[in-house]
Order: sequence, then C-alpha cells, then structure tokens
Amino acid sequence: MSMNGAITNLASWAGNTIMPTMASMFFAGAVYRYSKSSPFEHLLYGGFASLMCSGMLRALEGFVQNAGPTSPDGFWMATMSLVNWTANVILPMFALTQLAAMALHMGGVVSEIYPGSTWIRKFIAAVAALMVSGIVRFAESMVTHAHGL
Amino acid sequence: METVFKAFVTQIVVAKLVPVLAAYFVLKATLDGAAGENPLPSIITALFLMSLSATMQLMQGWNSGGQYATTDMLTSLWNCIVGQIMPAAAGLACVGAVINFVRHRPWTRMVFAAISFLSVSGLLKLFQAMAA
Repeated sequence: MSMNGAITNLASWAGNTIMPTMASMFFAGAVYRYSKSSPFEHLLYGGFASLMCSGMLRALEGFVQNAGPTSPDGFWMATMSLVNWTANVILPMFALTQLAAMALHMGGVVSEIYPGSTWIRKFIAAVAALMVSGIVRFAESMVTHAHGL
Repeated sequence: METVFKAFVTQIVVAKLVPVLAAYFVLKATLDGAAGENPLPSIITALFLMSLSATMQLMQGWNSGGQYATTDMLTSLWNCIVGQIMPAAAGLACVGAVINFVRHRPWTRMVFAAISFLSVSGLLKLFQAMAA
C-alpha cells in the first residue's frame, strides 16, 4: 500500500464510514439538548453535515474545476463559485424557511400553540427519542436523493 | 560491507523496527485523542511508516539516474503530493470542518483549506504569474 493510497483510504474511512455513524450520535444529542431547552441546532445541522462529507468534497471539487485544475484563476473561481452558491442557492432556501416561519407567526402557531412550552417540548422530545433511527434514515434518504432537487 | 548494511536495513530496520515504530504512533494517536489533542499527525506518521517500502520503491522509480535526477525526483514528488495527496487531504479537511462545526470551533478555514488543497497547482501558476 502506497502512502497516497493510505491517506485516500483514511479520508474515505473518515468521511464515508465514521462520520455517517457519528451522525446518529449527533441527532441523538440534538434530541436530548432539545428536551432540556438547550441550543440543539449545531448538533442537528452537524448530523446532516456528517452525512454529506462526500457531497461537500464533490461540491468543492466542482468549484475548483470551474476554471480548470491548473488555472491561475482556480482559487479565485472556486471562491467565487462558493459565494455564488451561498448567495443563489443557500440563501433562497433560507428565505423559504423564513417565509414559512412568517406564516406560522401570522397564524398564531407560536403564540397560541407555543412549541417551546414545556409540555409540547417534552412530548416532541419523547417522540423524537423513540424514533432517532427513523430520523437518521429520513436524513440519509434526504441526503441520498438530494441530487434530485 | 555494502551487503551487510543492506541486509541490516532490509531485515532489521524495514522488516522489524519500522512496524514497531508504526505501532507506537498508532498508540500515540489514541493517547493524543484521549488527551484532547489532534491525533492526525501521529496517524499520518504511522501510515507513512507502514507504507515505507512502497514509498521507497515509488521514489526509486522516479530516479532517472541522470545529471538532473535530484530535480526530476523533486518534480515527481511535487506532482505526487499535489495530484494525489492533497485531494485526499481536502477530504480530511471536509471531515474536520464538520467536526469543528459540531464542536463550536472555527470551521470556515477548513473549507477554504479544502479549496486550497484542491487548487495547489492553480495557486502555483498564480504566484508564477505574479512573479513574472
């Protein structure tokens, strides 16, 4: 086994074996922190990101290859592609979530039926704790079929 | 004398000593992780020691034997690092970015490190153009 093969195998093992496994731990931690009314978003997003290590690397490779792998503009084009992707893909999706939150607020969901109130939070945490496997499978399914978006 | 030295290197150092050293670095990686330090340098060292024979054969293949053998070997080493090692390092950087994100540590620099790892050749061309 050569050195480059060993490092490639190390990266593949870390990204495709360990991180998807750790995603389950992150989701479980998110459920627990939600039950304690602690910030849980980092663990939730971390769980999704753990399932997407390969996809993120492929995205970065795509950004770099826009200008050609040996082009002097490679780094600049990659950075610009990252900025474009953030501004034109991620932020519109973020806008949708904000519009959905606006609709919920206008409907009085967060004032009449407050998801942060203790009994609802405990109920949601109990349900989520009982279906962490399902959450992970759902997240895996979303990540697997993400290319269809 | 040369035969004895070669036998010492092959049969003692490479066959016996290096695997023990690699095992030591695997142990050190676990201890580094337990102490909250970065185990990656020890892991890379262990992998390098485990692949020492293949690396030596690879480098022997790069040796042109001519008057420019040193620069030829350095050029081949550069191509190997940039073309094969750094893309794998970019994958590790992506994994590190996710881990740092979960642990509330700086993670954006890992993303830009991954981009840099993937565009080292381009950065070389860029700096050559700057220097021209």
